[in-house]
Formats: sequence, C-alpha cells, structure tokens
Amino acid sequence: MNPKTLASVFGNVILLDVDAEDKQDILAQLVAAVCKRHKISKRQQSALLSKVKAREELGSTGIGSGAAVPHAKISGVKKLLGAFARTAQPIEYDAVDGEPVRLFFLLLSPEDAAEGYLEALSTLSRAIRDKKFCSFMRTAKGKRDLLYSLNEVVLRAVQGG
Amino acid sequence: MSTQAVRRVVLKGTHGLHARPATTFVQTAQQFTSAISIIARNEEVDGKSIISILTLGLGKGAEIEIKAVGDDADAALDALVSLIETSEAFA
Repeated sequence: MNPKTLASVFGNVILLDVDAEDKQDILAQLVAAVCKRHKISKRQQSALLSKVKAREELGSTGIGSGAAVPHAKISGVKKLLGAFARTAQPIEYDAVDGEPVRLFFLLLSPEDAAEGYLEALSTLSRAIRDKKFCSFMRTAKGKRDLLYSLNEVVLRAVQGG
Repeated sequence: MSTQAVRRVVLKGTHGLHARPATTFVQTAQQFTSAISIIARNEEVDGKSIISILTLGLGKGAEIEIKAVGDDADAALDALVSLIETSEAFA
C-alpha cells in the first residue's frame, strides 16, 4: 500500500494523549471516534466494538514496540477506515513482547478486501518496526504536527525497512 | 551440532499470513532454540518477530521458505510446516 494512503487512513481520526483505563476502554474510544467521523450508526458501532474485542480474545494484536493494531471487518463501507490513538499512559495489552502499549492503530476493512487489509498491515508493520517512527508517534506535540509529518515519517520508515 | 534446514510451503488459507497466523507462527517458533526465518519475495525476516513477518504482507497462494539454523532445526521445521498446513489460524 502506498504510504501516503496509509497516512491518510490514520490521519482522518487522531486521538492524542487520551486517558484510558484499560484495553477495553481504549478499544471503545477508538471505535467510537471512527464511527463518529464516518457517521456510522450506534447500532453498528456496538457490533463493531464486539468484533474488535472478539478479535483480541483470539490473541492480542499488541505486535511489540509499544504498538497495537486492533482490527475488524466492517460491512457497508468501500474503503479501509482507520483511527490512531496515543494514550497518556501505557496500557497493559498482553502484547507479544509483554510491553505495555501507547500507540494504537485501529484498522477496519471492507468485508471483501482481504488483500487491502494485508497490504495496510504490511506497510504499517514496516513503519512500526522503525524506531524513529515509533518515537515520532510518541512525542509529536499536537494533531497538526503529527498530520504534517505523518506522510514523510511513514514513507521514510517504509523505505528504510 | 548445529544444522541448517529449509522448507518451502504455500499459504493456502483464505486470508494469507495476517496478524493471527503470524502470532501463532511466532509462538511455535519461540519453542525452539534454532534461529528461524521466513524468506519470501527475496526478503528474509526474523520468524520470531510478528512485526517482521507482517511486513511481508503475504496473501493467499504466497510461496514462502522457512529456514531454521540450530540444534533443533529439523524439529522446528516439522512443527512450523505442520502448523501452516493444519492449524485453524491458517485456514
């Protein structure tokens, strides 16, 4: 996936330094934010949240480096939707490396777009594997800063990896 | 004595090597002391790192090589190949 596309998927919904009590709480906030932004009904929002949580039950999406990629399929949309959240405090997430998580990248993909989802996950993982990318995401001061540099940071991380 | 072994596998599952199968793969790989890597599209990545595996973006039908280097290389490959061919996470 084009890094620019990925940056725009996450640039759409950004939650910075949110207070979240635990895993369930941050997942609920992420899903609520993406639903609000895309005018998705309350009913679908609650179904989506259940799906995202069910996916976590199968195994944590905390893929290491203090980042997690919760995800689910969503019906009735044609393109990939995403949301980025940074929590004020790291959250216990049963991540693969045991480290708590502060960076959350929610991905919702259309029912029939397995390839697009895999590509997004691939680009995103390349970015997350890059220490500079993670450190930028942890320290960017505000939404504008983050949006301004997201393209460039994703691009550099992906090309460097 | 340390040995090196390589096996080729085709991903037959509908969704390829996405987050859940990658997690299962890594959990199995970590049970062995051998260094494990996945080779695909001329790229070799650490088979014990979910992030690294996900960077490959391997979809249905992708051909991969699994390489193991170490004392339990053969046992590791037996377990990993059998996982890909039989586990529900790879279906």
